Amino acid sequence: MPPYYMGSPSALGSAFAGGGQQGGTQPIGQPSQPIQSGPGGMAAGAPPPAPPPAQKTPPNVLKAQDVRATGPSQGYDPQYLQNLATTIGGMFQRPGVSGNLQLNPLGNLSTLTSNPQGFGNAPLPGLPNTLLGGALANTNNFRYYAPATPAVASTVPKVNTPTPVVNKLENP
Amino acid sequence: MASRRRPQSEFDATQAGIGPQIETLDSLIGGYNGYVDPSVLSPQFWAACSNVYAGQFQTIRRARWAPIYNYGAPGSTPVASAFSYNPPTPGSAALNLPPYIIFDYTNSPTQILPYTRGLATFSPSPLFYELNVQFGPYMRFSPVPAFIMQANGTVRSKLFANLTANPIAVAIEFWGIDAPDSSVQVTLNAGSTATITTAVRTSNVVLVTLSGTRPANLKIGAYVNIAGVADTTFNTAAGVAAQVIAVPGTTQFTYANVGSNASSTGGTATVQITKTVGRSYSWAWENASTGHVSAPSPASQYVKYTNQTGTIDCIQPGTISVALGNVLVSGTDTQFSPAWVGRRLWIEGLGSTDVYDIAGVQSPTLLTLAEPASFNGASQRFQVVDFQSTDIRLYATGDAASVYFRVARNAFFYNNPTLGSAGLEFVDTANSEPPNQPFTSEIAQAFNVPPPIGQFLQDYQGRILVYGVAGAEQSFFYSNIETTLVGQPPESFAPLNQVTLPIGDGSLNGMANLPTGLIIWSDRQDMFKLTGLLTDNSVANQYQLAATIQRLPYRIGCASAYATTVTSLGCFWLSSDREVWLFTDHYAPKNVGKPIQDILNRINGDRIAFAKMTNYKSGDRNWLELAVALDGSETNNKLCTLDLDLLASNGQASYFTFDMATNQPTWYLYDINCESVISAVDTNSVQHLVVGNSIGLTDADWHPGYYTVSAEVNVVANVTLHALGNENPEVVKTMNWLRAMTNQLPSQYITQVWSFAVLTYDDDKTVLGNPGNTGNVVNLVPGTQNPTGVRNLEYSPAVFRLGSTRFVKGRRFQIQANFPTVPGLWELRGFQVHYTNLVAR
Repeated sequence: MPPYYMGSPSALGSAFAGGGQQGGTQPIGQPSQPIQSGPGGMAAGAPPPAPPPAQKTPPNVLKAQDVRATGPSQGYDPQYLQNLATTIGGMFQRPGVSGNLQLNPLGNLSTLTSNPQGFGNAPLPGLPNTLLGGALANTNNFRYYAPATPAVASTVPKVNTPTPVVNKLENP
Repeated sequence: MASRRRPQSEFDATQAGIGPQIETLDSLIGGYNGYVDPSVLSPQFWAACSNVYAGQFQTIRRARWAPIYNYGAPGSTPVASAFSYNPPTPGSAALNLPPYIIFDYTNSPTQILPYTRGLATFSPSPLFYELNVQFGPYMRFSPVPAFIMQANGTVRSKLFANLTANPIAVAIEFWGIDAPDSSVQVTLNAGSTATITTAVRTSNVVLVTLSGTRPANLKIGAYVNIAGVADTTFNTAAGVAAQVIAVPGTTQFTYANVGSNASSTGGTATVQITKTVGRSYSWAWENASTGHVSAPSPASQYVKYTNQTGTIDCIQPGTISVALGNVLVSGTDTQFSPAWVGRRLWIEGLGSTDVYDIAGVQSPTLLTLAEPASFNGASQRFQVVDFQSTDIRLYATGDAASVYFRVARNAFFYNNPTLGSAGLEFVDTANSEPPNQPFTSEIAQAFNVPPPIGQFLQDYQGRILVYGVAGAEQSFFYSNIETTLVGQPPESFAPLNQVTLPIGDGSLNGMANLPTGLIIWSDRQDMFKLTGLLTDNSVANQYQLAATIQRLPYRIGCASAYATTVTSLGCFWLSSDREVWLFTDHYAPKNVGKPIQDILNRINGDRIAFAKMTNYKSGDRNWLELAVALDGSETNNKLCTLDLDLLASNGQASYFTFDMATNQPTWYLYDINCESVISAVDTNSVQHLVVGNSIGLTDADWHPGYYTVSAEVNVVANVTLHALGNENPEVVKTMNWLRAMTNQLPSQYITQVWSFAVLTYDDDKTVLGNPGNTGNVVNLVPGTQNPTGVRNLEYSPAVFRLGSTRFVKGRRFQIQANFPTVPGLWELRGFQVHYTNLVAR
């Protein structure tokens, strides 16, 4: 198992799969540490505010998911590695229930795939699973079916109702 | 001695004549030569010199220096790099912007100086920048008038000039914009369906009246689908949604619909999306000021809408907590990234003018702000933003499609407290498919990736090359042209736009752009030439095959990427083995630094990587300038000047081949602190030789009328000619008189404080060129060793009668001149020497 995967092996390829109430995620243990940098260590002063416990994501919310660079920097700056990781991993499915993808942008793409290995550790050829591929296979698209209620216009879920904003969708 | 070449016949047939000899020494413009046996050189060449130069005007002149910016007391850190920037005058406003000099110290921020001839006062202003990594030396390149890309090995940044402001407003920004590193959050909301009572089309706008109150999400800007109206021309086709234009009443709305005026009844208006497979989103930052757009964020999962609308929030996963007065930020379910250092934290609910820059990232759940928080916040949503960002572009795919088209664009307001008011939130109500609205034809710019941090820059074929990247010292990275359709190509480096050279564990350490190709050196002994067309690379199109790199058969590397320059004769560089070479790409490289090789051998090895070189071409000057640190100096303290006009006119035609004894590249030496050296242009389009040092900036070739902040400074200068008498050293000579000729009246020699000397050598006792052995020195001070007055054709302070107590006798004579130190144009034109050959023995 590549070291940057989060969660258990069984979670690979199964997150967000299937129909019904998908997309809700639960906090799990911290992932492997990405590359660290920046001036100084812990800043002086009062200890950091205690983080509140994680909240359960409502079922009608597809959480934001991130892609993070990991692995040895080999001398590159963190921004460049992160940009590479974003570019490389942006279209691939994110393993683990957290929906986050950590990858070594200087490594081998084959480490991203959950496809079976060849003999020994030899990866099989091919690209990792893409978000589109998962959606077309109907295993990785996000959906929400509201509980059956009378068909009225006011069935907006009461959780996380967005703030009214001026819609700036543009004309072509 | 009209020619500076010493006739070969002088060596073949020595002058054996006995008796009085008169020789006129003029055209003394051979320059310094510390390479050839001093006992074979003629007085046209210089045995020693300091702060003098010559040229095709055939005289030796003293250098003139004047400060153009005084930094402070000597001993401060030097100006490590400088850049001449001449902004165009905008057509929209007659601002008449002056040229600027942008310069950097090794421990304080970049400064910018308006270099305006005659400007009485000015105030260089430090450019604000949060990070402590912006110190020089920088290498800069301006691909377009408003951009100056810069590299120093610790941060990737650019200077962006607002050309409509006077004085010019220059901002320092990151070079390129980091792609957002998280996908959007999508909240599904129930859609709405309303029954239409009447629909009336007037002048291509339909007014719809509903049977009840208009649903909340059916508002201005929302996309609505119309179906079931009796007159089907009112209905929207499959894959098309109409945007609500106005809501004149609580039961009414309007939308655009082309057709004749008509009215109808029935049908429904729905604001909801239904997809078979799903729609995916991505987003990007935009700097509207520069016209650049970042690469897109990670894509979201495909959202399979089932009669819903989507609220799209551009936020990071997790939430953060901050405490008043604390710089620490803790996260829950976050993935703080070290790539965020230097970026800015937007925190929901803050809503003030405070700015939260990220100073460090300790872990995925803990980071440090540059300034303490000014409020208490718990479980706040947040985003990380490059402070140059002004807008956000949202992209979406069609149903089960792979191409991301721009569907929306919000202005971004950092100081607004909510997602909506900050511009971080979009509402998707459009049950449509590309190419119908809101889909545009603009696709996400996946190749607009910022460059890695490098030390050095080079322009080639309209691209910017970055090298000196710590992670890839054998590679260079180049900017986009073809793959950036929206945004700034100079700020975008496709990830595969990288070329690696086979130089083992060496590093790329210099480039020069010749018309025939790009010359590339390593810090060892590698030299390559890149030809052909560089093109953007992608996985699908590896156009790079159009370019070719060949290893040149010369074992010459480069000592400093700052010490290469291209001139009208070819490219020059300081090699890794401390030689100065010229390459024209028509002939093999020529070592043109031999005359000063003894100087180059003294370069401090720890500082050779910071040697600087530039081409200074102004008026009758066409000089190659090389600044080096000698011996134990920690900063460049010797400015070596190669006269390119003399080089072009004296070498074997086109070959630049010299025998060194009778002809050589002409070098002048300045003893001036010159950690940086540039050619800078002023308002009158005059180029200046500007050196940077610990006291600021100095015009090292100053002329009356040029800009200066204070008086021209005193300069100590001297020259010692190679020996007279080398052609017949077997003959013992007695010098009878010597006349020193300058551009000044002899009567002024005393007050101007000229002085001269003759160094006599007797091969039986003293040796030319032997360190510490300067022969017998006879000082000749006007007014002291000769009369103070002038009597025509008899005597003057310019003529020194020798003999008696000023006994000058030997086999070889070196003549020395010490110039006045006070400001002025001081020119040594030659000497007349009368001596008597006594006897050969």
